[in-house]
Amino acid sequence: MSKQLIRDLDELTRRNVISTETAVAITKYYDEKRQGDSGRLTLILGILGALLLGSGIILILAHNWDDLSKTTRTIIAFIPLLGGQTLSLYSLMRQKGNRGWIESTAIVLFFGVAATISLLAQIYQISGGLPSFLLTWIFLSLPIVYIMPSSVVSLLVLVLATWYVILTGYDYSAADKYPGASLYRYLLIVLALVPHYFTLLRSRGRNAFHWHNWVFACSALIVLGSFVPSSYGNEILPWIAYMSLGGIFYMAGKHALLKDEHLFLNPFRLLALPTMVGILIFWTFPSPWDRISTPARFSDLMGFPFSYLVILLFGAYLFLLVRPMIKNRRSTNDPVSLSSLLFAVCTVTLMNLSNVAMLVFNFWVLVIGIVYLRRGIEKDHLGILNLGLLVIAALVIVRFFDTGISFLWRGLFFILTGAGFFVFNLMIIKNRKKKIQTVDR
Amino acid sequence: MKKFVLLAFIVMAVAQWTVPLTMLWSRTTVLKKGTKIKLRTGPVDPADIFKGRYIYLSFPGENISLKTVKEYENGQEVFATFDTISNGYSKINTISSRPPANSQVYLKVKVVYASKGPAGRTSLKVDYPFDQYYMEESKAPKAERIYRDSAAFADKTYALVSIYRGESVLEGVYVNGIRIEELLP
Repeated sequence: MSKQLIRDLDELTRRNVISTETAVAITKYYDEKRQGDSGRLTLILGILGALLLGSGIILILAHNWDDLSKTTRTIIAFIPLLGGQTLSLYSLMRQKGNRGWIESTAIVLFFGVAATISLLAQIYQISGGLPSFLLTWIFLSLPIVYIMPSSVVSLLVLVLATWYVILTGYDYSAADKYPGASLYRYLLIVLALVPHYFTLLRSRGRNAFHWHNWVFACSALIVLGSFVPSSYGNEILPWIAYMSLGGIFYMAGKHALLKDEHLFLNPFRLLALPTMVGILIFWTFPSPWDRISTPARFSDLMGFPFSYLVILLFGAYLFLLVRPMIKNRRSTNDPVSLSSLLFAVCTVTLMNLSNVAMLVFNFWVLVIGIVYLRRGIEKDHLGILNLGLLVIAALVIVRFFDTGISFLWRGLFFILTGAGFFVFNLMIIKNRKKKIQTVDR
Repeated sequence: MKKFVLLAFIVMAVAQWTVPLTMLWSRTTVLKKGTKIKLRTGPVDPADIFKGRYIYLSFPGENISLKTVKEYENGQEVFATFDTISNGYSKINTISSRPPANSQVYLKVKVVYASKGPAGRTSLKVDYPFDQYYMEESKAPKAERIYRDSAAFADKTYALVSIYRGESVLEGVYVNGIRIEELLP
């Protein structure tokens, strides 16, 4: 606890602003908080130390590698695995309550598994692709998440799964021999991590909970596109999938566990808005409409696992959208939550009337911007206000490149938007100053 | 510590040992029981030479033309047997979709593309499972330079591979009969 705070507490107690008991309670609170902070610091330093130690050992071995016999190299190859398992077992038996020990040793074991397999592959010239190595690493590491248990390893497994899907899913030169193979494996891995995620929700790990939300949200956005087969006959469904995912994220961000968190602790909400607004703005241009070929037949599309994923995502989004409306018996006035539905309906029904659809999307993005602007003014929140202005500005900026609109109109839009930034921000700041002055009087 | 957790840890540890030990066992079996063949390697692609630890190998023998009525699909795993030709080098003799019943000297390869040609012949490009040769970081670029500068050795560079029941172990890359590591200054 800082000296300034101690002095302030003494003064407040002397002046009878707070009682002695309250001062003691405040002191106790800050002392406990500091211990928690130093515990976290120990944990982070322990994890970093484990990573550096592991990397250093590997580098030293690599330097002298060629001079060793094959047998010696083979024995050395098993040391990372043996060391990791020994340390992890020690943590489980003697350091059970010590998160620093548990997480550090779990990480050593995680990398030890990979180091052993990699070293053997080098010694015996085993070529095998990176994707199969990643998959083996993931499945050998999953038990670590639950046995230790380790949240850092859980995050690392999710990162590996994302990497695996990027390698296999975005390789369009690979034959679609097993369509959906990478999708099924990714979903299996994510499902395997769900129980751990729920223990984080229920128990102590708020930091780990937020980190998992961030990594999962980013992972889902990255991998979704990789599940689109190279021979897919429809160009709209992948976009509907992304809009649905954005919609699901937006609804998830409104959940009781997250809605009151700071925006940077709510990755679903933070990522949902740029995803959906970005897609809507992209589809205000003629080029995506021009590229849409005649969609494949429904029966052909149902031969791809990705089609089922689109249906699942859209269904989940609709469920999350409609459920609170039924529960509260009123419709929503939030245009962002309706964006995915609007996008799906317009792209499917207005495929041959793209000008109308583009107009609708332009209007919708403007509405989103104005709603946030208004909300910012009502709540006296600069962040929300500026977010609304940013959305409008984004729309104006892209229209700058729209040669269908004259220079005069584009110039006017720019001036209005720029002026809007100044005017609305000044308005809020002035209002705040007035409020402060009124309170002082 | 709860007994259940200890038991789960033991099971996990056993699984984590099983994978590398299986790799080791399968490789040493091939080295002990396998037949060594020499496969001519083509020029190494300098653009892909070294992303950290290995050199890429390409094999002209991966392009073959066979008299066969069978159709092969891209990405299909097939089994190749080998014939020894001039200078002790080997080349693919037959391709089949199942392991040969009367031989243990065959290699599992992947069809990259297949196209039907005239007179019932099929042109195939296959991928050997050993296109990367691991070398110590600083050595591989030097090895590649030696190879490129020694144009006379262009047709005397080969990979020595042990094959056994579909599996293989790349034992070394040789330039004019000398291991490539020994050519380095």
